[in-house]
Amino acid sequence: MELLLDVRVIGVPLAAGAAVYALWLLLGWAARRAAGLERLLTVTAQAVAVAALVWAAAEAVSLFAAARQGPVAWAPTGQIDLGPVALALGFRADGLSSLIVLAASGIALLVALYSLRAMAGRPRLPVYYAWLLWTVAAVNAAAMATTFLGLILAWEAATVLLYLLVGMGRPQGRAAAMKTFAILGFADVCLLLGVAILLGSGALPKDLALAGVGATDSPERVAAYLLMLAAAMAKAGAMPLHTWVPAASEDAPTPVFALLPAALDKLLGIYLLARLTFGVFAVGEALAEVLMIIGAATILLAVMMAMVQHNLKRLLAFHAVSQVGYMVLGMGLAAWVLAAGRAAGGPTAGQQAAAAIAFAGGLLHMLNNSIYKCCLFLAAGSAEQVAGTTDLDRLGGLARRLPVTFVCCLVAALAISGVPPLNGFVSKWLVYQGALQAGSGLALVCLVAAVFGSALTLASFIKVLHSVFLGTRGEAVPAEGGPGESPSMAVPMVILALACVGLGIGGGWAVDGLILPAGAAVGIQPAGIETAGGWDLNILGGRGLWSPVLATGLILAGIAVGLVLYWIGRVMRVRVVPNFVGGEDASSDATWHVSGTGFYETIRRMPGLAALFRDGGAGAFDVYRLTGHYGETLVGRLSAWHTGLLAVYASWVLVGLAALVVVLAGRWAGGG
Amino acid sequence: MTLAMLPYLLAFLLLVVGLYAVVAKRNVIKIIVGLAILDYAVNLLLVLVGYRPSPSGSPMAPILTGGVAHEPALVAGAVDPLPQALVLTSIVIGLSVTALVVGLAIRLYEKYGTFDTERMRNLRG
Repeated sequence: MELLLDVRVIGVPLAAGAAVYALWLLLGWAARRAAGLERLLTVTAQAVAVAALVWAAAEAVSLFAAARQGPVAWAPTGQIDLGPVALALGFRADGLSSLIVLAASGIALLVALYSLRAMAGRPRLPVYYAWLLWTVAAVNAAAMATTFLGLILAWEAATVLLYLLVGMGRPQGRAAAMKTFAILGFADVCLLLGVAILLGSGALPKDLALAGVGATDSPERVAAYLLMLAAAMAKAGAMPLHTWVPAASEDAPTPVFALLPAALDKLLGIYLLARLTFGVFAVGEALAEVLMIIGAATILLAVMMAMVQHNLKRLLAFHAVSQVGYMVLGMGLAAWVLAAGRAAGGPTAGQQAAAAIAFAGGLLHMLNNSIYKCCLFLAAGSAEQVAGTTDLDRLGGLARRLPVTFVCCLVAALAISGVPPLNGFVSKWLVYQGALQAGSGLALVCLVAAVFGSALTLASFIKVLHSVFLGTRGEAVPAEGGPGESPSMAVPMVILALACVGLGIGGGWAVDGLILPAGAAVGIQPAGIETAGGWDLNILGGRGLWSPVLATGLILAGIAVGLVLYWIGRVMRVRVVPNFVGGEDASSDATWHVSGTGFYETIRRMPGLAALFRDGGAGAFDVYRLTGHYGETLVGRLSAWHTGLLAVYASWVLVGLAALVVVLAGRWAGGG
Repeated sequence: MTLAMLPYLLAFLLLVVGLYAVVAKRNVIKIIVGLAILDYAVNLLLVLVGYRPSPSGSPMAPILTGGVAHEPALVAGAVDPLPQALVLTSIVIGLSVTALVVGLAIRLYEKYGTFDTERMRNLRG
């Protein structure tokens, strides 16, 4: 306990959450009677949460700065020796851990600020802030744990808190919360099992230290890696364990979704993936190819599901799944290149460079994704605040009412689509470069899938921007009055949108300052990427160059030319007449609203894809639904055996006893 | 198959009779009687395993009556005392089990108004 408090980035949110929760337990019963007391409790909880998160974020910044000089470690607790295994907790922050802690603390602070307004009026608000604080503590603890014990405990705490937070949403979302918990709980058991296998085969030290195990050359290690991989994939939301993300998205409170599945769970999942693939194991080529295929399939299939969604939050959730693919693909490419190098007797300089590029792309994409995806969900929350729904058919024309949200959403949408000079472009570009340098046929196939997926992402965000912000006013949007832009909700979005721009234009700085130290923590040599001057990214001595100043200048020049053409058009005094369609004035909000949901309906009917969409919509690829279906059949069989007759049960006991006697007698006779 | 096996076979027959009652009877009281028969069959078997004929012809109880001087004769001729002590305990345990089962049967009767197990089917899937 002293250790947890001593590590400030864990201790501060943990203690603050405990204080808020204790206050609620002590005074909650009284607050439910007196409205004034409830307001006081809520304001206290908000103030404590924001203050604690500011403190934690400041600690995270100083920790990150300190970790650049070398890993920061705390003295581990004493061991509890249980014979074959010893329980011990320890924390240290190296480049990778401190990056995760920094991103998690910062995003949590922004979401807490956003929640001040977005969550107002909900019952049991202090509890929400307590859970939020504990979530931050759990994520930070998981990212800094030096033993598998600490990792699993914090990981599990994050799962439980996610379940509780998702369950705070609408009552009809309970089933989705249950599904989330079932899938993530299953994955957590896989993690535990993987550790148990490693411990049993003698590969792990007795204190379960998160240390190097070596090559995946024996069946036990392959099984352990795959089991742990399942945990990371489920947390990050990669296929095939992704289905909890869209299911939970619709009914969960939007700030919760912006915080956990969109940002913090991605950080955790990809952290574990990076740690396992490069730090703990030295993954072989076949397993790295599995990673690449998972990545490419996730990108393409999830984005195709996203294109045909009718609910904004569900659409964003499918993008949250799709984007994980880039991170997994980047990690897989790096692992494959390194494995190929090891198989040929040690990676060459070129192979190390390719691995570093792909790894940097994957990790930077994790950071970028948590920023712009959080921003997109916050924008969806703002739209929901005004219209009371996230149904794309009923939204529209919100740009006039929410100009700041619209601009932030536009920036984030362009960033997620990989449009230069925003951050999504930099990380995707690095992944593409990694795929080109990897030098395998599969990598090129994955590259095509990734580029295609990126284009489809842009397509589906055009649908979002049109349906939500542009066009005429949707039926759910009130004509006049009602809530407008709220400063406390706008500020976090603006900060995130500025981060999207900053990490894009300062791509060289981001890779140099954030990603390469993280890579060094898991043994990725910072070769092949030159960040001369801090702004530019120069790959492999000029084979790839990202010069954000030049690119931004050209893009701004292009926009200027466009504006000039537009103004020339205005000056030429083109005759403007009202649009009439079918005898109706098409510019009138009330009579003419074209929703964007029909944009990509045609791909649903394309030959070959039609069956895929039909089965996907019916849940044929949903592991959870399949398990439920076949599990129910099995349970139906078993329950038919339950006649309720005592005599039948007694007969079963007798049959079992007879079988036991036969087996034991046979063994006794055989053993002499 | 020698004649010496006959007592064991009879004990086994008793066991089967008890089992039949437990498995096939519908009445809870009859099942309890079956349990008791099972119990006695096992007890009987254990006692029979400990039996041996004494040199004098009649079986000798493992009780030292005539002082230490008689000990060699007792060791040479008395039946095994261990199963007897064991069975004594087993009988007491059987009694308490019977008391418990009868108590449960009374509760079942209060709940269902019958001793018929086919009318107590709350476990049906």
